[in-house]
Amino acid sequence: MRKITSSIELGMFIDVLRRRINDPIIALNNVNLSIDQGKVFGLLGPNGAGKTTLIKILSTLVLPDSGQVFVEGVDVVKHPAKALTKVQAVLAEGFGFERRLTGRQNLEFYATLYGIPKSVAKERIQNLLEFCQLTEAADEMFQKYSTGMTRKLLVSRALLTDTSVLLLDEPTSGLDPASAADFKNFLRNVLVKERSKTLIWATHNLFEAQQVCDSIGVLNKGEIVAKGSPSEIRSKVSEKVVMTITVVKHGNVTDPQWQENLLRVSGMMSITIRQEYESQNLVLDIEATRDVDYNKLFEVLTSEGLKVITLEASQPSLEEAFVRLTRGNPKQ
Amino acid sequence: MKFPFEPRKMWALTKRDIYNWSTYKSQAITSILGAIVGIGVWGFTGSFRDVPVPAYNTDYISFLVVGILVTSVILPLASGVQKQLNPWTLETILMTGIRTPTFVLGTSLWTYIFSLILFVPQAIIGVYVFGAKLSVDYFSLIVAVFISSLIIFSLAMISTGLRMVTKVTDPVTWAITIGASLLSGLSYPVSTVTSFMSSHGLGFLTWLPWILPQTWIYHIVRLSTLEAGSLLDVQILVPFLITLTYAIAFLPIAMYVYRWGMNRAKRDGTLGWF
Repeated sequence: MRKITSSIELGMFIDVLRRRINDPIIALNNVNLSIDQGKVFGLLGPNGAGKTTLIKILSTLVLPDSGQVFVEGVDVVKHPAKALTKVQAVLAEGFGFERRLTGRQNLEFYATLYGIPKSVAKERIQNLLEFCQLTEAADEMFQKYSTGMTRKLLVSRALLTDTSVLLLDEPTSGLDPASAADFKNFLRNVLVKERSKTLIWATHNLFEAQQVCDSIGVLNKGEIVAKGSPSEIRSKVSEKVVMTITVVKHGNVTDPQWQENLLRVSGMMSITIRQEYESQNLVLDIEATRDVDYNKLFEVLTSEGLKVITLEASQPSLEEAFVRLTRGNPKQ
Repeated sequence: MKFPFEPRKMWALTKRDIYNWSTYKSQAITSILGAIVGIGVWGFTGSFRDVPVPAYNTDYISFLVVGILVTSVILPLASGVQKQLNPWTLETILMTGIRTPTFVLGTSLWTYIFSLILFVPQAIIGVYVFGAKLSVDYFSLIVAVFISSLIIFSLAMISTGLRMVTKVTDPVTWAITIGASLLSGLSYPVSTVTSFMSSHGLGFLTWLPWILPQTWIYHIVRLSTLEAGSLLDVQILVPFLITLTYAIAFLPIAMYVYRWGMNRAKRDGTLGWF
């Protein structure tokens, strides 16, 4: 079993296995994650990958078959009540709001259940309603709320206790693009940057994950098949880098063998040179391995009297990476 | 050790239920009218067949009216929590870290309070319209209601724990309820059932009604309301002690079953299922 002493400094430490009941499929297979405080961690995966199961384990609503889950040093399985003072969740299904109560009454109801004193709750609810731009609708029955308003009310409820970790299961699903953008800005800029909260963001929206998350874990069939920053995830599925370098000649090229010299740089695979239309610029289409020695490459170009004007390096998109990771050959 | 009930949270759950109930105006009116009409139906039934009930030194209508009052005041404790066990709110409420007794009692309290409110017009109709004769020892009655409520609260917890696993209904509470309606003496004395058993070759089963907690609940409430049974009288005290034993035995069982149900549902991942 992995040592867990470092979990106190981390937002979360997760190492769990969970089987589906009456089903040979393993819902989560030795999912092992360490998540830093004050960061947005994206839990990316197709439908049925195990994202919601993991979120519910962290929310104390589902028990793992084995393993450990720590939130800021608190064991979620052994001490669920204490863990709930550290973590709250916005679940994708089951809003848990009373339809006949207003938005404000719903928040008051939950504030009482969370044990927040009445005087504190009143002011906090008002602030949250303003914060989530729900002041105008605060005294309307919940059943009149739109999807966007419901999402905001869900976040308001999760923020009532001001826990340091917030779990968000598909938080923007059902929102129109403008509302989704506002919502993401709010979560990223206010909750993470201003309030230093740790967010776990479960989604299958790749664009969203790339926009919002500091790091990502790709979950497929209950297994973490890749983890790292979005660019690291992208690079994991590709063995090579494709670069297009535009250079301009300064005077005469000293060595007629300069192309061969470039190919001798560590990691270089191929090079094609073409003259740019109606200019003296040369365009170098280069294929190289991921660990190409960029310093040496530029050194050779400079020593040959070539000045770099532009450089474009293309990697597979996160979408391509996601498809490759979740549809096959995940063991990169 | 922390106090298991959190009054402020219990009140929040109750206030929610009152608010929800009051916003459905037609439901509020029909439930009040239904309770009043219900006691009328039983009153006419009692009047139609008014025979003495020597077990409690009373007549049948008084016997019946008390049975109905017990049914409508104490027993709804168990159904109250079942009504509120909504999968769409259960997960979020449990995420607040609410304690088990608070949750169970809080979700059933409004049903209980509402039953108490209805008790007044029902009792008035029973006594003044149908002539039920009450002879009450108030101290015994308070003790009887307290012990009975403990038993029913435990049954509610057992039911809640099982329903977290079985969802719509639970076989244990169903069996107890069905058994009680047949055997526990709601609308006829238990002796009617045991005599029937004896005369039909089932004499070996005459103990059956007396293992049901509801039989003892009806019995001690009737002892305190129909013949002013005092707890200083040993013959009255003994059934009270037996009922108390049920209450004491049921509480830890109830806690165990509730926790088992909760953990089982969490392990199955079906807590929010319906």
